[in-house]
Amino acid sequence: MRKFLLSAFLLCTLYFVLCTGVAYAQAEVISPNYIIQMPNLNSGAGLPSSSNYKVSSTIGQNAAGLFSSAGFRVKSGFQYIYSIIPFSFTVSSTSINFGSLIAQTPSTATNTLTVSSGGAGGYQVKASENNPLKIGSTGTTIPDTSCDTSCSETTAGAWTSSSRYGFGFNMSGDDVPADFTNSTYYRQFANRDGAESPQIVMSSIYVGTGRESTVTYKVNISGVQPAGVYNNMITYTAIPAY
Amino acid sequence: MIYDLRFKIKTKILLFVLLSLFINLKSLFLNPGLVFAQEVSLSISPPLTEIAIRPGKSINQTITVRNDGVPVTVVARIVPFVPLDTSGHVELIEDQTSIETFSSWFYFDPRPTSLGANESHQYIIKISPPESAELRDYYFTFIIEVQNNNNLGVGVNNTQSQARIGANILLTATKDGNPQKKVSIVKFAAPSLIDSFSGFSYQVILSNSGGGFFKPIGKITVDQIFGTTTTFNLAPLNVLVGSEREIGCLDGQEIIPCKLPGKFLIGIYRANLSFTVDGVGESHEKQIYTVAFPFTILLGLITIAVTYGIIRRLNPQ
Repeated sequence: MRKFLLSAFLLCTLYFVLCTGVAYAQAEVISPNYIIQMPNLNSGAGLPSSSNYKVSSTIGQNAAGLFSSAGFRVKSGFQYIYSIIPFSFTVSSTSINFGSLIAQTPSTATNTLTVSSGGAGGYQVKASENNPLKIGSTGTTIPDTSCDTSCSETTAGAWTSSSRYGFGFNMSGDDVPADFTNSTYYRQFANRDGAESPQIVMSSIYVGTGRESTVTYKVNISGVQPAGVYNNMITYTAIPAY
Repeated sequence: MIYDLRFKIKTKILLFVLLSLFINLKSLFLNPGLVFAQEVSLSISPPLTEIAIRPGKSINQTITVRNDGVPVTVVARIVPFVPLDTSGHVELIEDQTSIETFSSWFYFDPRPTSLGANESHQYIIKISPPESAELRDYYFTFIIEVQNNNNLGVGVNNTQSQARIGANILLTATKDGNPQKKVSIVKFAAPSLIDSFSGFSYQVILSNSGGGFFKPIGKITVDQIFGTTTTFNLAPLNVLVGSEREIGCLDGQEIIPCKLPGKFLIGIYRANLSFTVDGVGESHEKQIYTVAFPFTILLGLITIAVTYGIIRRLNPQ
């Protein structure tokens, strides 16, 4: 019995060590090539260890007289939020596969974006593509969609026809732009290759946690689209409001 | 016999544990992409840093990045921004010239950093505006960018999602810590006339044409003539130089619309906006009026009266 229990214990220990992540908190920033002298001096940052951390207190000094002697004044966080709450952003899946593309048969896939801005009065998430879906070796592209009649990187349009081709996206859920009227409305991604500016796909002016939206990507090709493997990259940038 | 049965049970349990271990180890080493979800999750703190600094001086600021998702490699950069709208959103200026203009102001480790799951990394940023820096505001976003795994999606029609997260830095270059601040009330408005059941909110938009960003510290006081007084505290939101900002109201630590409470409003409401810049100096004020009248009730009564009159005419008896 003892031998059995010991064997089971050793096997379970081996299992947990190999198959679960072990996280080590990073104690300090040290690199053989980058020496940090007096880290955190003059800083009120870092993850709070106490919910009573006073954001409104200044590190360095408080009054003009003290500024004149030290030459600086630093404040971290928001004056009306009494703890420094981290701003967080999650992208549920970084690889969106469309499988084999069949002419006039739209292919869709989704991922979700989640923002928590508990420590900020609002936020924005902007999106852009590096280029349209493209065969890397030849440069052949699947153009960004023009929807059924028209749409752009700033304004969504209905896209329901299987004879309208291209690549686009729909947004649904929390804090998404109002032009995504329903699930049939799509936009193009702002194309950085074409010097288009990233566009807001989620935003709010309020403090919020767990704000979640779903991005639906759609590709539809014509019968004359050259064969090949098409790829691109969508960059999502989440920034709290100031 | 009992001993044999026990032995058989123990053996089966042991075999089951061994089999489970084997299957999971096989998955781990032969299909690494299937073991971890591809969820990228980052958090950054603090979300905002406000600095007033004399050119030629330097300070250190720490920004902490935590990885709550799959292991990633990240790269940091600092990008200038301009205000995008009246809601506190930013427009990053990511052209190389703009970034390089300020590259000497900031010193931090720019090398790719690996972050395991649940791992944090502190970026110590040395901020040193040169003595020659113009005395004005400069706005930046500290961006953490995930380096995508280029092996994902190879050979398949695919789009990759890249995550970036930022924290804002508002920097005022000033000799004495007191740049001139100049505010204008662009808008303090509410409907002049409303139905008693409608409800309404006050809208406040301020502009900054001075030399440094500021926060409005003040309130909206609403007096119902011959009635109650309601007070809203303005949210101390930053109004950046050369921009306008819509200011909401504060309920504890939450920003809310400046909406008059109550389902039925009646009478004249006098609203007084009063605030100072950063809580000091002269008070800026503006007053507006709103009249609430029960139009729907009146309309209903008129409709009933007219209907009654018509019925009486048609049936005089």
